[in-house]
Amino acid sequence: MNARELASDRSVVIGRELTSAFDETCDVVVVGSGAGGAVMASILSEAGQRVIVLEEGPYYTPQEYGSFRPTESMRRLWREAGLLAAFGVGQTPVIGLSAGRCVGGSSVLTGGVCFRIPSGFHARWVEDLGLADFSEAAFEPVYREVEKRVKVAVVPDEMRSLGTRKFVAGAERLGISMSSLRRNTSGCIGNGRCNFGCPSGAKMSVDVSYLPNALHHGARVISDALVERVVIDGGRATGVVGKILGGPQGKPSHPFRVRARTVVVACGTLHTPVLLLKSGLGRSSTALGRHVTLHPALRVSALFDDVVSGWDGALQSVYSNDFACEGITLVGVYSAVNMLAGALPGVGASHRRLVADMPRHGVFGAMIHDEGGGSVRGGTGREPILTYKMAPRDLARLRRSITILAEMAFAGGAREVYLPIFGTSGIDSLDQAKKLEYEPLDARRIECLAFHPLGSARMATDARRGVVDPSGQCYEVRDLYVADGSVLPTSIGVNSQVPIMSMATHLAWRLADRLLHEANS
Amino acid sequence: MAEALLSDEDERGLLVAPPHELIDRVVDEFDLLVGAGSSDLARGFRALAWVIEWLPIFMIGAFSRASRLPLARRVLYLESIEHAKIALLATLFVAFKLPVTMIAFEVGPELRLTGFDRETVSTPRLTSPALKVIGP
Repeated sequence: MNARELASDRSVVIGRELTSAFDETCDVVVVGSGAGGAVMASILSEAGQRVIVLEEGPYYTPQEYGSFRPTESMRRLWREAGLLAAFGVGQTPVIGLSAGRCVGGSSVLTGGVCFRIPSGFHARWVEDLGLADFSEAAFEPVYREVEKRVKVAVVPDEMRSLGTRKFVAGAERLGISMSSLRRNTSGCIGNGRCNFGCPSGAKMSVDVSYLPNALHHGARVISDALVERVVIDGGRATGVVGKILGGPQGKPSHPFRVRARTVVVACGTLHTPVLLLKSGLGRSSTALGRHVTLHPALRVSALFDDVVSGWDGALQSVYSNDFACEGITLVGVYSAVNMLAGALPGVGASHRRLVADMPRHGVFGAMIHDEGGGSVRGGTGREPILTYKMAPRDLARLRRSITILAEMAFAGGAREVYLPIFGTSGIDSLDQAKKLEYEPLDARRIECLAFHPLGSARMATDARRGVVDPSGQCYEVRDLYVADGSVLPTSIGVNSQVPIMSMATHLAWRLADRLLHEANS
Repeated sequence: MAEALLSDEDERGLLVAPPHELIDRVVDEFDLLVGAGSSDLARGFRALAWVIEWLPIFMIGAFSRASRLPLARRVLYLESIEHAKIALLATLFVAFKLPVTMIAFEVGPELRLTGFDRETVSTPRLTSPALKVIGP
């Protein structure tokens, strides 16, 4: 391998433009630049560590991705071109998954919703799982730090779209309370397409919040760099090897190696276990790649008499926890108009007639707090295979949430409601929705999405039950850390962006202290 | 398949095929989209296309490949898959339909049909004076 000094002008190094192999040395190499990796890189570089971040996906500036059409965004920023799915086992829907594959990772594609981990989960982690350092009180300074850095603020009422307001009015008539969400935006004008890249550059994803800070403190971020294996010598991680994806259609062009005293893997719940398995881990615990939770979600589209132009407003602005005891969170949503149009039922002229009514459509969603029924394993190619077996309880919750959303829509004045059940047409009465809830239904008819895969390399206090210890270090290999959604020990029932950033912050502070202590001694 | 999915009716209620330019654009962009994923994804879509091509005999009793059916029969065939008793068929159909229709309704007359009132799907919102002051 020819050694080559990488340009270090404090901007992202475009890997596919590199013309030869490289062999670099640093203190900490971070694999992945999403909500976990970017936070790690930022905090560790602030602490004086020489950090290199390797990102498999390409780099685009907010100006560039904000101008992408939605399908262009899927092609350039999303893993598997936005067509990624979890394969259902038994009575389980096929679940469409959204995950980023770009500098900034999935944070570039979120709706910007920011929740702290609910108190009950902190308590469970401490009391049931023995994770004493993960109490809500211990995380208070962590949350404050993260929320400050990504500018978390309450969505003003004025940012609710008219479609969302219709659903909220319906909810109020039914006695369901709604609250404003908090999101990480600065200057949001309500373009209603956050998950395809913000046209106004308002979303404070990690590529515009944490990574610039990391670069400012000397970190180097290299895009198009696929890490294939963690190098392990004598039970210690000593670096990573991989290939630059600079060939035609993103094929590998030349190899690289990065040597480091510490390796942080932050490839996300789908890819972290695959990289660890390829690197020889997974012998001491059966937890690696298992217990994946997804927060399965769905949305209902409702046709109102008035024009509501659902695209004018924040993509997500309100939520309700009134059904939390049933494991259901209701969330106001929208998406790009062409995506919602495509999801309407019908073929040809019958489909076009529904599409022409889009200005009168409002959309609302629900998310299920699920049991961990997912498993990740390596596929025949670069992408892993995710299978998911939905617990009967969670399937019932999904079906119940459809009825709740339909009830809200009709109470809000909807003339017709389109349910997320393949092969059904619009319904015009709540009775039809209630009947559908209790009729036999093949789960694979339910149109289901997921945005928060978590838990495939979970944290535990002993090596038999988990992959990493409470410091994020792998039980099987020293100096190998994991810092992304895969380490979360349980499902959390809320959007995972801030929880992942917070977990990474907590782990990064401890790691920075340890590295400083080692350097001094 | 794209031709049937994006077909329309004229003012007399007669079926009309979509313009060639629309089909060409949708097919080209669909290939680009699937090509941006892994080889596994491309293989999956090839298998799906094969299944859809050979199912007319089971769904509508037509002894023909789907691509050789007249347009009206193709529409009928796709409708029968969408409402198929076998749930997996309906799901697989949507896996094809969603990207095709997303691409179709993203620009031009199809985008206008949605009533979207901005110039393009990437054009920022036409803000009201009240909204200009919003944001931290």
